[in-house]
Amino acid sequence: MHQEQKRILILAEKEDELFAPITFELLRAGSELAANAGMKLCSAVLGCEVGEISEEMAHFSDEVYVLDHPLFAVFQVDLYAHALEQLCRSIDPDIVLMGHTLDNLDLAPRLACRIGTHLITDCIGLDIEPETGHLLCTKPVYGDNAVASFAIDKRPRMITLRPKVMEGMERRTTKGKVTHFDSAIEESLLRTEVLETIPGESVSLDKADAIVAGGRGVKAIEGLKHLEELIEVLKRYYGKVELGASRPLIDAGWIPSSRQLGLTGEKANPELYIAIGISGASQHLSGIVGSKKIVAINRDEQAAIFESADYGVVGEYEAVIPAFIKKLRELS
Amino acid sequence: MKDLKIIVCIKQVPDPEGPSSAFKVDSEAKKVIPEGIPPVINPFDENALEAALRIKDSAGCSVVAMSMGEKPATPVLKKALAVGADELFILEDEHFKDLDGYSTAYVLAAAIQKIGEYDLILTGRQAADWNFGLVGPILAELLHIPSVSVAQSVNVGDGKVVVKKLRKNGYEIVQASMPALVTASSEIGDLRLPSLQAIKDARSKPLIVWKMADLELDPHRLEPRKIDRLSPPPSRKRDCIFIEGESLQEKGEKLALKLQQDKVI
Repeated sequence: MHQEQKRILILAEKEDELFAPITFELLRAGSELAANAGMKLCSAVLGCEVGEISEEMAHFSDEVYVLDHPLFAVFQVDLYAHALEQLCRSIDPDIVLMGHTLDNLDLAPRLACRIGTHLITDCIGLDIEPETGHLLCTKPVYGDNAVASFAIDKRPRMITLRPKVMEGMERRTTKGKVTHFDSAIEESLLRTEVLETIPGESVSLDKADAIVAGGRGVKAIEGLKHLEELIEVLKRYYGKVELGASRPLIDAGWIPSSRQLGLTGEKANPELYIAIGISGASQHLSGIVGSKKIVAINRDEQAAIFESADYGVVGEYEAVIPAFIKKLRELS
Repeated sequence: MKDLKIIVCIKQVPDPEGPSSAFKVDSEAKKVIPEGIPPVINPFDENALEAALRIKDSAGCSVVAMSMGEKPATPVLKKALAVGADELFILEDEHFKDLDGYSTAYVLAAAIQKIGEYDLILTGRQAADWNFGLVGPILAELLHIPSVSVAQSVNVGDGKVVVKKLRKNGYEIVQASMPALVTASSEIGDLRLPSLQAIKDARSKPLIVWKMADLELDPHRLEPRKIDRLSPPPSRKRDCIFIEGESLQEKGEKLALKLQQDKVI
């Protein structure tokens, strides 16, 4: 009997009118599963006037569903959840993949609840078990101190994928089919109102070539000037150098949340990561473990960070960094 | 005017600040066994509680703390009363053992419906143990109320809640009519410390225990978390080359030289 090919649906995420890196990571994860299980790779693009970028998305998927509406211009969970619920009911996907991003912390569970399925969040691995056909979703638990795998016995199987655990998918020369989907949304569905959007500085730690990050051991806000100076000199060696932080400096309000690295912050895989006064809790390491080289500077020789570093300096950063900077200037 | 009522959902977890070595992974039993670290209130739930207490400080309201489990550690949860919550509800039953996020939200929803009137529910954005982040948004779905996630601050007035919500770059001021649910992020700030007097006063505050039979629940909707596999985390160990020197200045210089030698810079 002829059976329609099953679908994997990924939710494309946008950033500055283009697709965010996580979109291509989701597509890569989706395309691997699709190839493995003989499914169709489909994507949903939500937004306002997204016709053009949806055509581009067709180079990455077999089917693109375009949900274009002025009300989608900003993310609002009530509208997005309603629209995606309609789409899921219409195309009946077997797997739904979304990014584990701030917006989706709210959207993904609500959508799962509405379509009566279960969701596994913050996954770092997706594997189809050959014997059973089960999709094993692997996620870190207990602050990244253990790793658990779950199978979802309801349909669709819903997953949010942790950013930066996959390479992005390559563009195909072929093009999939683009379909406009009317999700019948209206303003009356909205139960929240965005009064104001306050843009912070635009930071993309996930695109940085080098990151200098501070932790609790920085001790005083004045200490950040050492980190900033180091960033300046590193720009002689690396293209994009950014300031990062572990949670204590974010919670202290010294550094904006967009620069937090770790379990509840950004994930980054820079060429060089310099951790200053960071103790190396597993929750922080989960954001930076993909870094090519890790340098740790910490006064406490017992700090856990040294176990995960390639180079270590034991000592007060205020004394180490100026000499490090001076030498870097001489060498450049 | 009637006082506002805020319900804060809290969960106990093994102290996530504990060292990695304190989390023993039993792959056979599919359990993480904390060793030598105490149970604490989930830190994000503490942030939620702090947000509720700040509203109590400024606008006046009653704060109800609620927790669910097979055998919740009451002394840990009583901290909520000591810092300023007015009542503590403990939903305790052998059927509540290791429930998944959907079932947890279902039990909490039943208890909240039994309480009846409320204006705002606060939860942490996720729990430090299983890290799913499901309970808040699903609870809002089950109760058919709006929700705003990852709050940096929460204010109420005129029947509305106004939330400073974290976005990827910057933030948003979002307003919702109450009743509503808000999930708290760490940017809210740490939970206050209780005074000695407050700890004493807490002993006379109401602590209500509800069993499964006290709630309208369909037992078929209570599902334990089904774990397929559990393993220790992949090793993050790297062989650290320590830069030595007579002085910290010398170490700093040698670090630059070593990085150049290894072609890192």
